[in-house]
Amino acid sequence: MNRIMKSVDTLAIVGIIIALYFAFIYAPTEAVMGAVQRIFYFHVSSAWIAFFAFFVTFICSIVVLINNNLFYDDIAESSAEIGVIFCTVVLITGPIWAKPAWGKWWTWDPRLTTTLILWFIYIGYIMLRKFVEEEDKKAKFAAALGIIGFIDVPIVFLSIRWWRTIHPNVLQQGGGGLHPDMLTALIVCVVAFTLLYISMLMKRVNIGVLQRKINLIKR
Amino acid sequence: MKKKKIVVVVGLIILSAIIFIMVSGFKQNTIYYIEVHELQQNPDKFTKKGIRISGDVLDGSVKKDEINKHLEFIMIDKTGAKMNVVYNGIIPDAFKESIQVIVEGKYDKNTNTFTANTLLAKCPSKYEAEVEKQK
Repeated sequence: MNRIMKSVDTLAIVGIIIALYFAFIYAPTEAVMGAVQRIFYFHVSSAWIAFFAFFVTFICSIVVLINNNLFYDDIAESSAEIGVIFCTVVLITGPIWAKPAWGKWWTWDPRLTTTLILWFIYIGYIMLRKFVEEEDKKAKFAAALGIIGFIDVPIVFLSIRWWRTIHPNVLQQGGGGLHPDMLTALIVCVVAFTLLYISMLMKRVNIGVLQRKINLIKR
Repeated sequence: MKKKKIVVVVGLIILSAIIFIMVSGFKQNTIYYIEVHELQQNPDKFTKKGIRISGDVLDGSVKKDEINKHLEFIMIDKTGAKMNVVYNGIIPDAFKESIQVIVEGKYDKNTNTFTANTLLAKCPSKYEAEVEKQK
């Protein structure tokens, strides 16, 4: 296990360095927005990882409700926490990009609003876990929220197609599309961020398992 | 259980924040923006403050005074409906002719003039390389 973790760590570190090269040097400068558009690679990658992390929480929550295996509760919790980190990155890089591109840090557009709600839902998820002390109950309550809360993820994803919004649709169906080199750079960034996610998840799950052991000994 | 109380209070704040966002964001103006012809068809419906209108900046209509932060242009939408827009404030870098913009403010149907207090530039959803465009 330790060996696998170390190799994933190495891959993640190397991956991020390669991703930086692709985002800042390999990808061409965008014609209208200029250099600031390069934030796109991290903004979109973070969003995808946040969605993926919440999806893992969703699946593990279902498993917890079916077989009551608390190991999956650890994964669900860990993934939600990491998802919140990446969702925070999305909510920070977004305004940094919006200010020069749109002229305003924030606007109550459907995409932005639903993303902020998503962030609040999973902050609520983490808080619910702190609130309930009995492990069995905690796992069940959290699993319920982990399943219901996930509803917002497809809403955020599809919001730019469902409603009128200022947020551009570049990659989805009906979107504008992008230069092939930009797409390559984005794919490299998403792969690197995925490795980073896996590395963080393994560490965090490990902490959760150890915490459970300590609690058993304490009792 | 002081910790529990704090968690409950903060939890309630977050819950009410979510509800507030949902209610204020979706109930009052279910649509993020309307287009010029929709505004002109039914101007009285939209005389409430805080309407958002989207459209293109008509080529050759821009009157810009950077020093006094004053901007005037004609907005045209897909159907060809036009209105005058007056804006006082910082002009976004991205603002130029023939881009799509979203303005927030008040509409005067008698003069067909929209007084904007916010000007947002809509970015292209197609990303092109700088070098290729110069060719």
